[in-house]
Amino acid sequence: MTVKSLGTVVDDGVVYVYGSDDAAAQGSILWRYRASDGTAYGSSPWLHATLPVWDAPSTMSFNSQIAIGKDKIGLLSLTASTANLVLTIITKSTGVVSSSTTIVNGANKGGADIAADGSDNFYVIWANTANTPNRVNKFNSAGVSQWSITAHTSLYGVYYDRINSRLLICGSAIDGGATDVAIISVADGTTTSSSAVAGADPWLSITGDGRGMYRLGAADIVVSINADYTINWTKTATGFTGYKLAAADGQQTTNVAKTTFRVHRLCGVLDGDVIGFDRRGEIAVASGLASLSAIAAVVFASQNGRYVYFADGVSTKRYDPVTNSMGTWTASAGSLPVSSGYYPRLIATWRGRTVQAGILADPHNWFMSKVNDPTDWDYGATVSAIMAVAGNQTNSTTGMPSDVITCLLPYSDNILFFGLDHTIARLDGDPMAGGQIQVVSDTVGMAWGRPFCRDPFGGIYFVSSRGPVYRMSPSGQLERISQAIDYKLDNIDLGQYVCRMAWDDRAQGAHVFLTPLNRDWETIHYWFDARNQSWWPDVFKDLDHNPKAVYLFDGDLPNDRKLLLGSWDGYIRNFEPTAKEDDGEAIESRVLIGPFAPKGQLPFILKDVQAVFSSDSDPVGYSLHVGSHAEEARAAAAAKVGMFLSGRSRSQFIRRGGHSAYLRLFNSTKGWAWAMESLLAVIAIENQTRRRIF
Amino acid sequence: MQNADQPIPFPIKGVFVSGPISQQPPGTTTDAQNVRAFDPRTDRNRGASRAGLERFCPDQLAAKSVQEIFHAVQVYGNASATGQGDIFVPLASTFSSYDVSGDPIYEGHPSSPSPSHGTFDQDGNLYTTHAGQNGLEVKKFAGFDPAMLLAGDGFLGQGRGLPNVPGPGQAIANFAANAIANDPRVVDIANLDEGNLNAAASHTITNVSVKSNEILVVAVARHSGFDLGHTLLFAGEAMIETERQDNGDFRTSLWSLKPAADLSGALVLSNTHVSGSVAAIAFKIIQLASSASDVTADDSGSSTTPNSTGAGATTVAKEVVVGVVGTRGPSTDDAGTWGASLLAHQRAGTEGGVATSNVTVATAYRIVYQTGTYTASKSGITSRDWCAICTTFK
Repeated sequence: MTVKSLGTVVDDGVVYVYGSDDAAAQGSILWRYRASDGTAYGSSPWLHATLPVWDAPSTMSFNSQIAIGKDKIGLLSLTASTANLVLTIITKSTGVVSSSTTIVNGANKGGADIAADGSDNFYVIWANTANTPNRVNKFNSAGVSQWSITAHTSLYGVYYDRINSRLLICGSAIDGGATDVAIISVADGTTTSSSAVAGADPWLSITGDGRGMYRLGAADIVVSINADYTINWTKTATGFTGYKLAAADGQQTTNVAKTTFRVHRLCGVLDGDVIGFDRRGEIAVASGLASLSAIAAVVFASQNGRYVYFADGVSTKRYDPVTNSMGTWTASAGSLPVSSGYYPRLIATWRGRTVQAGILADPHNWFMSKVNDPTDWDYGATVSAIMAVAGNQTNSTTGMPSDVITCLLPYSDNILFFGLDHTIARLDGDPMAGGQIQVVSDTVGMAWGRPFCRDPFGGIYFVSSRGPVYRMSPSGQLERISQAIDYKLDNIDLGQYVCRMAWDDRAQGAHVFLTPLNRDWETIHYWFDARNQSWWPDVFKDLDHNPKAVYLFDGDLPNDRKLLLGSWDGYIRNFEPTAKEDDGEAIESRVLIGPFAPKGQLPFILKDVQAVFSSDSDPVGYSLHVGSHAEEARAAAAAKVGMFLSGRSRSQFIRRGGHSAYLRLFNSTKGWAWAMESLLAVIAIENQTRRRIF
Repeated sequence: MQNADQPIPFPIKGVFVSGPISQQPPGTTTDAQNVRAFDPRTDRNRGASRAGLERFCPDQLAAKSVQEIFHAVQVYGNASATGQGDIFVPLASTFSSYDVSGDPIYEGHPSSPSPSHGTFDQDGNLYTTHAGQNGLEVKKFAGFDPAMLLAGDGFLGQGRGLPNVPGPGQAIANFAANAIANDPRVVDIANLDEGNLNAAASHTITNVSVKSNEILVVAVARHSGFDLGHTLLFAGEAMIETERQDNGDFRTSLWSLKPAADLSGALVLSNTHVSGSVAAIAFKIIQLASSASDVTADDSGSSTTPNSTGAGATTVAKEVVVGVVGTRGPSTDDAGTWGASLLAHQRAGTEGGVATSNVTVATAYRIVYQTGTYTASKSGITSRDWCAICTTFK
């Protein structure tokens, strides 16, 4: 018995296997198996008697003969008796054959490939001439032909990209011309665009990755192309059949109980280029190169509805996540904000409005699009509560703040904070519904850009225009929280730094990133531990790791909920709790513990130190410093230097006298991370006689 | 004089630099860097070094600075995360798979003969159909986290037995235990590039774990010294020099150790001779049948085409062929291309100073399923003195 594989698909937790015993001409067979463990799903085989017989064309090779839509499964079969090519459509939930459509009859006229869209339309490549597939037909869910294209010389593969709503075919001489890959219209099958992709002619198989890129196969070669047919990579190897490529495109579900079907598009703006990425690698964005300002230190983006809009000071651009492409942001009414050739540098989305500010030639002004329409900037339209509005427009009584706008901080549907150069203002309510600007502080402003973050409890943290960090309630009540390190923050020239903050929900605290605009400058970032109300300086050994852009990404997968850092070198990184180094660089950690001394400032002899570190801790260095008072001890050369190991280390014999002591822990070895459990010093307090002379 | 215990608690209240030094508030410190009160690995409030950075995206998006990161969400179809973009490529008698960037996951997988169909699910699992000995077979290859994929790591697979089916469709047969799940794989440990390892100095790779059914392998290129014997210790146990090849005072050697029991500890490369450049690559081979070396060969020369010459015929069908090429030159030399169907693995070397004062070592491997004579060779390297080794493990 010879059984031929005709294709396999996965959907809703079920693996469908389509095969045929063509030698015995006993019919096509469809099996169902649980994707989880391979056990049969219901009766096995699932369908046989109701399916046509398969008798493969004698010499024609083929791709898959099965495709699955939303509710229907499409199967291509050849009836051995009459050699008809039949499209059989089955209702997925019942296995009932809902239609059987004869596409063509005649010897050696088979189906080369089949694809389905999300509306149960099926696209079939088949041979009108014996052994030469050259036709593409669309059939609806009832098996009725919607259109048929006959202009192509040869066709082999068809792929429907449900994520990006594209239908692609491959073969040779598309429309009889010189191209071999095409995107065609689902409405009528006409060619939308096509190209002669280098490497092979004809291309025998096509599939996609759900990320806007496609794979083409031919004998001994596979290439990856973008939607504009540019090649990403080429793989050649002797023996590739060229047929039956399959890619993980995210369209075939295994988890029927899945509740979220979000499509995430992560992108970075790199010196003006918009480039997509995910955990796996770069994703080319159509028309993404040289879209935005290449010289702006930072660019800001904000999604409003379908599109993501940008503020870079020099252009008006938007990103379409559905087509993964950049385009021009044009006004459908009125004009996008601009003054003397300068465009906004700040952007946010609030109440369905796209809010912009930060125009160099109009620094006090703010601009808001019409509600839910970022293309409508008509301030002169018939007055309504949802119309576009700006601070200098008379149809609103809100007016402009008296200070230069440095940041936009949307808090809730009712509150938008304006961070200003040396003040903070709060806009209560929509400007076209009586909203008013209230001054929250006339002494504290906000650093430029997005120097803020929010905790889950509604608290706002921001780097002020003077350097210190504040926590602010929605009512505008300010609390200065950085007194412990104000001495360090006061000395920062904010004009030379990009200030960003980000809340880390797992670690329950806020990062304060202070990245110099000079790539070669060293800097110190800070971590605010909200649980201990404490501050911790952070330094990256590689200055290229200093982030100019941060983004708190909350993907569906646990491993995707990360704080992303965009750095000078074009990489996107994140903090990983188990990582023991900074992307190949050592984490140079240190902490000075002390001063410690017995009560009463009595002289003592530090006899030994006993340390317990976590059992999975790597070694950590230590040094002990002793002096006659704290400041002297802090500056003193180490009285003892050593290393603590994981678990309980041997007691470290010291025997040095003084009034005050410090212990420093340090590590600069790449790949080492440490965690302390306890430290204990054994000291001998000097007796009365000794105290007098010591 | 009376003894007293003086606890030294970690300063969980962080940095405080605004008061007198002698009156530092309890629980604070005047100096800290890259530490946390809450241990990032366990979330215990005890004091620890901070979490490190890793690459969220393995690719450098561009050699440019990142001005902004943004995220757009659409409720639009089904999106895959794990393994998205992986591709299945049938060959006449096997198949290959590649990741989204075109990097091989597994080239030339030893599947059943006959072209097959494949499909992926949303979680990155691959299902393939094959015309097997007993009829049509279906296999499932478990998905993987690409972030965890090790260079040269094999495609983790597991077969799924499908029951006999009655009647005319009696075609899908029980699928015998799939060898793929038990295929040997190479797992990286660390590389070393030491410009000048002084006499009596050592280099330590910590936290190495090797199970009793695994084999630890270290490839070493060494300049200016012949006495590397017994200088590779793993958890205090001496590794065995499985093969060596000298070229003047330049040596390339392959060391291995199969521990009698599961063993963890430090891998220490010590120098007992004069100073000289050294480079090494440490990895382990897991899921071997016997965890022992089988046949080996070596050769040396000076050219762009190092070649170990063929080792003797292997004695077991399924083995791992390890190729090592050491060159007397810097790591910036042309790496060349591995021949004999070897899959490039790691490359480590020194650089700086006179070119020939440096050493570089490169490794490659291939999982074979038939007995035969195998070699290790490269072409297109910068013309240097070289030593080449081919050793198989069964």
